[in-house]
Amino acid sequence: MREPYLVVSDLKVSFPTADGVVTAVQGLSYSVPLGRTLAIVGESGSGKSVSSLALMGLHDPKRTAISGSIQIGGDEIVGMSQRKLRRHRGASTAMIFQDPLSSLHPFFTIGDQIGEAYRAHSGARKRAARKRAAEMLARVGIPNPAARLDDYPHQFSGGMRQRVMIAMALVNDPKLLIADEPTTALDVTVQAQILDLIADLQQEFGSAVVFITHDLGVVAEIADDVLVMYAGRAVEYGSTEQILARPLHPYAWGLLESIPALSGEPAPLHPIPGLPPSLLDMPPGCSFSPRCEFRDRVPDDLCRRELPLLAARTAEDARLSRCHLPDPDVRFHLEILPRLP
Amino acid sequence: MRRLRSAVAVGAVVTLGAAACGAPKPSNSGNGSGSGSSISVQANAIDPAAKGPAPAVPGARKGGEVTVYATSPPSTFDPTDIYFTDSNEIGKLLFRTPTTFALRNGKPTLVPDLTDVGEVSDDKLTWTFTMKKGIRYENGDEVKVEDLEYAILRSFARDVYPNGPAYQNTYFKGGKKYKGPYKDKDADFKGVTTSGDDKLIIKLAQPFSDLPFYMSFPMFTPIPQGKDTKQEYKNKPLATGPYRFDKYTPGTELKLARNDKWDANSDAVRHDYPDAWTFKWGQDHIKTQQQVLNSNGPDANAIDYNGVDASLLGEVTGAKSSQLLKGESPCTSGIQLDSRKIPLEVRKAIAKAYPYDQIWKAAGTTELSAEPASTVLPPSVPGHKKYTPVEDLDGQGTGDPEGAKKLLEAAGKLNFELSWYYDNTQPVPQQVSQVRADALKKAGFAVKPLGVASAKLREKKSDYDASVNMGQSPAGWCSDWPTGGSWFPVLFRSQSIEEGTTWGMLSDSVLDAKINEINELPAEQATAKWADLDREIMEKYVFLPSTYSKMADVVGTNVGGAEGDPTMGLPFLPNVYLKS
Amino acid sequence: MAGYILKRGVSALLVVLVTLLLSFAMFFLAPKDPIGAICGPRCTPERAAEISQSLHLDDPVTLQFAQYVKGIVAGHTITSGGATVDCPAPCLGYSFRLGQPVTKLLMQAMPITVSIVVGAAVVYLTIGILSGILAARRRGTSFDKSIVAGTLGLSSVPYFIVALLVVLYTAGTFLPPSQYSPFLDGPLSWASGLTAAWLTLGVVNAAAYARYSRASMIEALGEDYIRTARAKGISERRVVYRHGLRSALTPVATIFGLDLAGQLTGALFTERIFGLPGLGVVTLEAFKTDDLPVMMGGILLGSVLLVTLNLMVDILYTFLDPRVRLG
Repeated sequence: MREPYLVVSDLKVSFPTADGVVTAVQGLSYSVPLGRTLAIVGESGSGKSVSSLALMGLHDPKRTAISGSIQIGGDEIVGMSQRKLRRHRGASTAMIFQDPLSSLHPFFTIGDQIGEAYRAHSGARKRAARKRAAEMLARVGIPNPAARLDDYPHQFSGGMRQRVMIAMALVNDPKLLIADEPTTALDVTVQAQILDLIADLQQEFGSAVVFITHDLGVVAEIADDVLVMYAGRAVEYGSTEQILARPLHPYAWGLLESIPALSGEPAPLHPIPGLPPSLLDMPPGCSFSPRCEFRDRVPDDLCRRELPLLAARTAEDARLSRCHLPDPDVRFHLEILPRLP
Repeated sequence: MRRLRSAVAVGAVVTLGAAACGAPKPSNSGNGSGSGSSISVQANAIDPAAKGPAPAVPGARKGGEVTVYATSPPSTFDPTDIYFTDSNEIGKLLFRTPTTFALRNGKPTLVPDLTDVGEVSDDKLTWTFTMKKGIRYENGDEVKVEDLEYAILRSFARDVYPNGPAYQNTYFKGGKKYKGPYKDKDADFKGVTTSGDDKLIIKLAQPFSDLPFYMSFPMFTPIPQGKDTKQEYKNKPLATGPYRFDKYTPGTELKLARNDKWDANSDAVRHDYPDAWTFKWGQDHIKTQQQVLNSNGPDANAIDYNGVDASLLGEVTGAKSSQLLKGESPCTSGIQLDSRKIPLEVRKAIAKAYPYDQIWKAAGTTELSAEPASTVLPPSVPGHKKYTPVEDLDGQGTGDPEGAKKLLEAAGKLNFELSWYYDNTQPVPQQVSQVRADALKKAGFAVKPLGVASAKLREKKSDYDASVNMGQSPAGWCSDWPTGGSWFPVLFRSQSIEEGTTWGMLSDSVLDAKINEINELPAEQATAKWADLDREIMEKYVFLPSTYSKMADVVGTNVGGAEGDPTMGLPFLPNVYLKS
Repeated sequence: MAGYILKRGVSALLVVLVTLLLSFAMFFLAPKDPIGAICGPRCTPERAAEISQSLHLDDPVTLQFAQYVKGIVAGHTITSGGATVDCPAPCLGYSFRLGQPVTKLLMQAMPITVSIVVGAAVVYLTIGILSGILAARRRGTSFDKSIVAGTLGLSSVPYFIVALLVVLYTAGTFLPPSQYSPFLDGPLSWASGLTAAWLTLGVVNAAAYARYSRASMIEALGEDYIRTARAKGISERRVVYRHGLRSALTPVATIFGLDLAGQLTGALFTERIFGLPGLGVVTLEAFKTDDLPVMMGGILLGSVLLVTLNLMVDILYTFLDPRVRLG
């Protein structure tokens, strides 16, 4: 295994609100080496977006408390000055956002917006930046790129806009690309193209990618490794193949069960009962326990009393899960697999 | 009738109440001492020997710029067309006239200006005025007697100058037919001629002993024919007085600069103390008055001639009383009763029932703007005599409905119907009409006030054939010049009905003869006779006098020499100076 | 876009035409006595008839309207008694009360109004936008709170009271006295005479602009594209003043365009209280004295100004927002 480019350890992000302090990320640790794609999966409010914004240092320092450590290419991001952070942002680390329409400035041409990102770090002149922007547009597959530099975002279709966003993110050859649900707002056919594009570009640039999504189909398409988050914590980690084929955490089982089958006999869906807990009022013990159908299988009411550790629960290599249930692989085989379509 | 065209006048149409008036004081401070603020009586005076330069105003110094505020802009500065008091007063700085008024102890005295005060022939039909030499226009040209003649001819072009005074049409020989020098180029008009290089000869159709007074109007200021630009002349009239037009923005602002061609030694009345004058129109009068009272910066050099607003009463009678300039105005207001339609006994009953005090209140009249009236002639006119008022005609009291009812019953005229027009679109006239109706009803009259819109009021009130029997126009009168001759012949002769300027529709040939007789006397002799006639006419109960208007204006703390001009009811501008 | 502007232009023209018709109708429907107003207190029937004739009051209404429009387009000659007054285009009639062509009266008032409004705009845009943006950037701080409180306080005092206080107690003492002298006669005296009016109108309006720009800036800074801009690694100043301000000022510019139109036609209080005889004062005086030709001219000019500025706002908006221009 290569040296990880991104190392996150015990990351905590909290915001003071009118109702109290909300800790959106409660001790998250993971790492991604160059050339690999990590998918972070979870429902909205699980902390996946908040943690990735922290990687960019994009939280308002006055309103956010961040602790733990984020190392990108050996530099510590947590506690870094805004000045230094700015040199990271858009250069070593770049980000693609969910809604390309609202994420592009409506009043500036895309040539201007891409060029601005380039000039911020390269110090290039306008003309050079423009040339670079055209190159990047060509790279992300926008036809007739030179002519489209002077167009405004609203003159592009949704998929093309996301290509523009990708071009803008990659303009400075970042080593780490964070993609926050980049395909959620797009048509299914366009989704696939964008995913292919990101995969291709990753191959080409050899960068580390953190891909945030709630869609397991997308995960299968693009990710090498998967981190499942629930209520601000990682609950399971493993390779894409492992997680999709043999998840160990009852929450991950629930996710699999709630995906409609695309082929074969139609089967009843099993959405996870209940709602995720409020971050202001976390249950004691395992955060998932109020919704977990297996909590009573664990002796001593342990699920409700004690927070399980993210630890290896089977003999498999590099597989971590945050669950007290003994023999989760056996439980999956015996009880869950037959229920899947 | 002369009126100051102002917002105040518009609001107080009922009482005429245009110009305001108060006690003149010989001192320059001009304000009343508090108790003695009643209007004093004017003595008749002509001083044919007066010579320039005018006696210096004590303490006066040269320099500075005076600002004058008023809400309504004067309608014209063409001297031929000037009839309203505001432009007339401003004209005193600009236009020299054959005669003019000097203020002596606050009272107007007619003095020679461009000419002498005139000599009349034995048949009283030819007047000769001799012009002074060496008087120049602002452009340096010498004033010629022909220019005086031309200016008078010009006033007959009533199609172009419809607003100027019109006595020349009736009094001057051939004046009824002559249409002025534009239309009647080759007319054989003999009314005005010249002789030699300094004699102006005016031939009359009927005796006009007040002619020298009339010759003080701006209409008689010389205009050289070559400089007559007709309608454009009002925008840049040629000055002969101590000031000339510097910059004129019609409707909003007029700046006057010193006229260096004016010779103080030739002028018995005017001074040129300030370097310049700025007249500003169109601002809210309460605001400009407050500004003048505060006297910040240039406002210390300011005068406001709107007539002080009732809301500032406390201030101007208290701490800032030294900035209040009180004076007389040449007006009497009241309500006329149609003697053709209402019998004398009923007119007496109306007078007994009349709610003077309530109407005073409803019309918003204040002690500063008026004083109760009991005569035809206001105190500012020489010849005014404060005789014991005719019963119930003292302009005061809340009315005596019981007594009035008794009079009506005795005359067998209970429920006699009285009707009048009032403006039903304005609050004040409505209130006044209501108060009047209530009081008369209580006294046993049937009342029928007829409300009409402002737009129709003028027409209705001046229609002497209308069905109403009281309150037609004019509701007041102001002197054109301070003699009885500008009152009685205008208001009480039979022909006054036809001329549309009657008080009470009197048509009495004996009275006509009497008025004509006094009118033909020289001014000095006529004065006492007008006073006797005043009482005689009041006894006919054709006009219920309510108020003499008073002048009460505010001046800045740095303004000196300000006193009321009783001929205009405005501050007398030629004496004004700035203290520092 | 050309089609859009053409469409807006045509509708603007229609509004002006309707105003023209309405102001013309006013001449006939208003409970006014134009002849009496012109003729004065000693109106002879002869003179009344002559005025009626020179105002063309005896002609059929349609012909009168045609005359009026013709005067505006080509000018015409007005007869007043024996003499004639030449009234070159655009002739809006003749004020018999002031004895001047209406166009001359309005054109002499217009620079005053424009001077007041434009000078005040410089003041309130500068103060308002600057304080609004600073407050937005320091949202929640005591600076922000005092700006918000100050703007609320300022806008809850009626404008004419503020203006009166300034005129009565500061002009002539620590502010130069309020007066108008043309710019070309000396920019310095022009500016000093207008300072009191500029500051008053400016500061009072600045309150509104501080609120607009604060709200607009807060909204803009919460947009996704601001996060994108930050993610590019450009400086915070550039994020705020290029990306944020560009969006925040677009709605403010729209409001400003409409405000400017409103102030040009409604600077009445300022003009009257500060003694600056602009369009508002001239028109108001015309209303008070039943000077119908000036009233009509004032209303017409006002509507043309309003419509023109509205049109300009629309056109400006297409430049400010490419989504309108190219959408």
